[in-house]
Amino acid sequence: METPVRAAHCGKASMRDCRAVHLGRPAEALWAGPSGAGLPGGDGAGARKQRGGGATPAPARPRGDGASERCRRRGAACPPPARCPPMPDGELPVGTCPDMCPAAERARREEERRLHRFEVAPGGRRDPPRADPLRAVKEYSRPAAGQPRPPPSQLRPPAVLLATVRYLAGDVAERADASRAEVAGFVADRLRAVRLDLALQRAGDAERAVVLEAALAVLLAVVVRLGPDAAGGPADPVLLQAQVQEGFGSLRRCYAQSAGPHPRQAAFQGLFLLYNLGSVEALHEVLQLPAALRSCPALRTALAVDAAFREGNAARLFRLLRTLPYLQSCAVQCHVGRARRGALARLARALSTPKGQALPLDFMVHLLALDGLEEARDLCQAHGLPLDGEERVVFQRGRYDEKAPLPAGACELLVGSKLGGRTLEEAVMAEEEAVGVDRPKSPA
Amino acid sequence: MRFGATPGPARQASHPPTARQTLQVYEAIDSRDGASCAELVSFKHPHVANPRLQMASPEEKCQQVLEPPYDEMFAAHLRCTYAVGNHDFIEAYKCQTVIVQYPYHQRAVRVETRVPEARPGAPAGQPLLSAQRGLGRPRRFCTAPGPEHASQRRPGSCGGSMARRGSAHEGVACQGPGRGGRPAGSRLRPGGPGKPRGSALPSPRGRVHALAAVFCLGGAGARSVGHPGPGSQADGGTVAASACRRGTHHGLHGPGRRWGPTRVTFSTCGGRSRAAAGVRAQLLTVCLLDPARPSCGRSRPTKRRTGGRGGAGRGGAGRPGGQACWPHRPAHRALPVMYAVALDLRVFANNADQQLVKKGRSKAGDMLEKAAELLMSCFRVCASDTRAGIEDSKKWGMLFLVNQLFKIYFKVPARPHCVPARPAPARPPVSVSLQINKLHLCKPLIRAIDSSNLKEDYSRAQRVTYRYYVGRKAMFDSDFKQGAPGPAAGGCMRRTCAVPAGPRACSSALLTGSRRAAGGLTPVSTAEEYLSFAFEHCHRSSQKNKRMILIYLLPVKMLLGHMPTVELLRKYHLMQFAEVTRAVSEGNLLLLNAALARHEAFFIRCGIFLILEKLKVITYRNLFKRVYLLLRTHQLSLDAFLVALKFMQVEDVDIDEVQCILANLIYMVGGAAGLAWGPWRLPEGLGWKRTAVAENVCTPACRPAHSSPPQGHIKGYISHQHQKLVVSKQNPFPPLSTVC
Repeated sequence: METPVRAAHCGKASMRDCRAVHLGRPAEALWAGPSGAGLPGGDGAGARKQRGGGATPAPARPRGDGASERCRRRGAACPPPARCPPMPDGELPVGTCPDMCPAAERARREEERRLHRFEVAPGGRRDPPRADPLRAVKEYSRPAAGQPRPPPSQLRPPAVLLATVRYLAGDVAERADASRAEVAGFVADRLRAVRLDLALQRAGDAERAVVLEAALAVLLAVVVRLGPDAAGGPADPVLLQAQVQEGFGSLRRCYAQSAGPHPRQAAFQGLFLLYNLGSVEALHEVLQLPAALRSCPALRTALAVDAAFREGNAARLFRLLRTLPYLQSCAVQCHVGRARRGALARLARALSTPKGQALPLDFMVHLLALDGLEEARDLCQAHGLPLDGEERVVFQRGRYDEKAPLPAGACELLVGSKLGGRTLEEAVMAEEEAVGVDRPKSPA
Repeated sequence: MRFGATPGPARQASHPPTARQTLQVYEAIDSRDGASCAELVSFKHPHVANPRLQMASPEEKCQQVLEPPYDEMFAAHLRCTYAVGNHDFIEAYKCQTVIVQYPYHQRAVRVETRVPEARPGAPAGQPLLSAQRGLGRPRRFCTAPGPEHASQRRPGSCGGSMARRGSAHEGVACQGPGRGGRPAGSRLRPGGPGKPRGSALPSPRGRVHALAAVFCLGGAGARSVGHPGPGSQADGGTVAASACRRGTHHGLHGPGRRWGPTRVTFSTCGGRSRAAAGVRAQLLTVCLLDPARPSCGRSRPTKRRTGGRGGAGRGGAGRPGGQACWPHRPAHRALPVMYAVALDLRVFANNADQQLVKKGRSKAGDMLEKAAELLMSCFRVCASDTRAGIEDSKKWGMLFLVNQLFKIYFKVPARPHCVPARPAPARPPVSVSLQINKLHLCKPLIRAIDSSNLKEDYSRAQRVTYRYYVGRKAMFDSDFKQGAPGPAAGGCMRRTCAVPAGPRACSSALLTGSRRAAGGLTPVSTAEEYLSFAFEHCHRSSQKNKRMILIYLLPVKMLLGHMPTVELLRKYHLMQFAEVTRAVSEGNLLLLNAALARHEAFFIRCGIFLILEKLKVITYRNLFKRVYLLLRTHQLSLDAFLVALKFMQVEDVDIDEVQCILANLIYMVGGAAGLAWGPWRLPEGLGWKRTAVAENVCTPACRPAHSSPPQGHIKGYISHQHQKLVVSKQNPFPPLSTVC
């Protein structure tokens, strides 16, 4: 049975139930929703409201859902026992939910038949389908004004959140029995819930950053796998891109608010720059970072890529892109087509003669890091450049069409091949270790 | 004369001391206009340093003397001085937000003239206004709503602080001493708060704007003296006044020192016995007539009744309209008040922002954004004033507010989550705007000023400030030069050059005309024009301002191929640009990178680092031109360029990269695009020189009226097969100023 993913508008039912559970809570304990403006993710809104507003959260009593014994997270330590001491005013709770999906939500969604097919327990075709506690993941529900704050038992602690991200990267992202769009929609929704859970609880800066980094890395990889032809499918690329930007926003806020060193900060600031390649705003923000951070190799590479992009130096740009690791390549992939087009426009201007000048397509393949002669031919023909035989393109004055639609490229050379036979989870985790080596160097 | 009263000495002498003092104040007030009044609510004025004026709860004192809502306004001002004295800018900002809501707001307290016979049933002295107070705060003065609004207000709906004042609402504006049968020389509100007046003065039928500012004089502290002369400096104390502005204090000393036209001095000694009774407030009232209601002067005969006659040339007793009797035009009278309070609002918002950020209670820019909202509401009032003639219009206040808003928008810092909402593909590729999410708010303001027919008539200072900011914005939008809207504006336009008498005529008149003819576009000036105007018209003594302008004008000029002289840089302490200038002129890429790295912090702080990076293209061009000049051939081997780049220690450069850089120079716009123009006039004898390599000065006469399509920095093409650059035999490296 296949249940469509319900991302944003599925929150009403769950929140209604949530309200029913906590009917006895005084009105002032209701956590006001975000004002909307300036809070793109919506995930940090509740937290900010709580900090500043002084709303008194009732001492949350962990619900005896009997789930604590099921601490079978992948690679996660058993979360602390579900205790929640009374909290002073305005302080955020600590999540105690040991599962990827709280038992209450599982039961509710079973009842409402809103389980995604990735979450249904295998074996037997029950009616209604039962949730597999090992596969069900808490879905995103939009925080809204007038809704009670979720109790700690509904919030997953950072360790569980990290395990959830790993589960999504390892088991869901590479499912062969589902389309990439379906996978992307599911993973993006669950990762959004991860960010929301993190924003609603008290957590250390380091573990908060680790969870956000992992979530963002997985989201980037999943969105890139979606491919350029996913528009109109079940997962909207524009919305997914907006979520990636929100992920960057959450992470960079986390970096900005915490003083401690984050081993992967340089890498993710570089990812941010690469994802917003050519954006002066992004570059300006990166330039505001401390010099020690900017001197990290990961960030220096990103800055070099950005400089080459802005300069229009295609040879240097694609030479650098070839050497980027997988995650960085994922981030920059959406700009590759634009960079190629710009380079082709310059070459067309500089190489065109009235009689025409023929160039081997190999040169184009090499210069623009194309996947092969076929892609080079498509690119040239799409821009109105005639071919001379199979392996040469003619640059003739007046023939270049600048407004041609950009052919969709797979970027196998620049992105796909960087996986090198690893799984997605391995690639992300391996790079985590590899990048971890690139610590900020001391001034000495 | 405000109240038509200039009591003579004999008359003064007949009054009791308090009354005499009051009359003295009136005498002082008498010659004042809005500018003086503005000083009394401004933090530029030294009264703010008077500790006796810094009261935590001045409301009661103000209510004793002033009519609402001016008691609130001035109480807020005094609270503000108290807060500033305590260096609590958060509280000061809050107080200032109250003050700024009074001048020039639509929902003003309307001072409708009560016509007794019109409402025979109403109790005596009960004005119509009391029924209008239910609108609640803020009760602002100035632009009065129409009568239809008044009729919609519910009587008796006032609450809180409104209600406590009871009926004391009448005749806010043009109440003078002795008005309504009140004994001359008595306090304005002899009955005290809440006590109905026996015979409220018939206020003018029209709407009257009034600004009342109370000053605590008496024996306690500051003393306001009308005219210098015997008695005016009676206390003779040392004036210890500090202008608590921007959080700094400037000590000003000197007995009897006069502070500008207001002639307010502050005495710290004398009259201390009376200080125990608290600060004795006296009234300064400036009536501001609604410019659109010339009939609002009706109340003045009543006032004159008190004070007699005076102020020759301003009296105009028989003048029915009443406006000519005012020394200045009505709208102008309120403008300085608005200027003063708006300026202080921004300054306090800035300081409060810093304090809040330091305390971790707010994010940087929050307070500034709120202040911007308030200023925008003032701006809307000014911009929507269409009733009066242009000379009386509140539109004269627009440019000041726009400049204040610019200062905020250019200051509000970026936030991590505000950076692009979407990845760059959906956006124009390059737009050099640095203050994220705020600079776009400048656009409607610029449009409003550009479409205003007053834009050339504002004061020069305001125009210079305005063009400085608009020039900066144009620069960030890569709109360096006329005809070059930049990538963000949708592509490069064709050159539409003409042959004018001079560069300015070329760029403004002719292009504007052609654009208008072509597409009906509004005239668009560019960074170079705006900043040049600002630089040339900035006052010569404002070296700091000229330096600020130059920080942005220099990169623009350099992108257009005009290098500043060392003397210019030295004069304005901008030697950070010296090496950059030399590197670009010589085509010394190595030196350019070193100079940018050395002064990186300065350039980033100023927000010009990315623009200076664009100079790299010009440096490439100059370097390659040197190669061309050395080889003296039109078929240049690519290897020669490779050697040159390696000599400049460009990392990992190869022949493909050389081709890309050359292709870029042949193709690209290089940041400086658009209309050709002649050599720039040297400002103040210190000026600019053309780059050493860009020696081909293109005179206007040598250019065709409408020349070729956009060209790059190099005229030629690359022969891939022979690995050569083939350049044009005529002018292969066109002057930078002609490059589009």
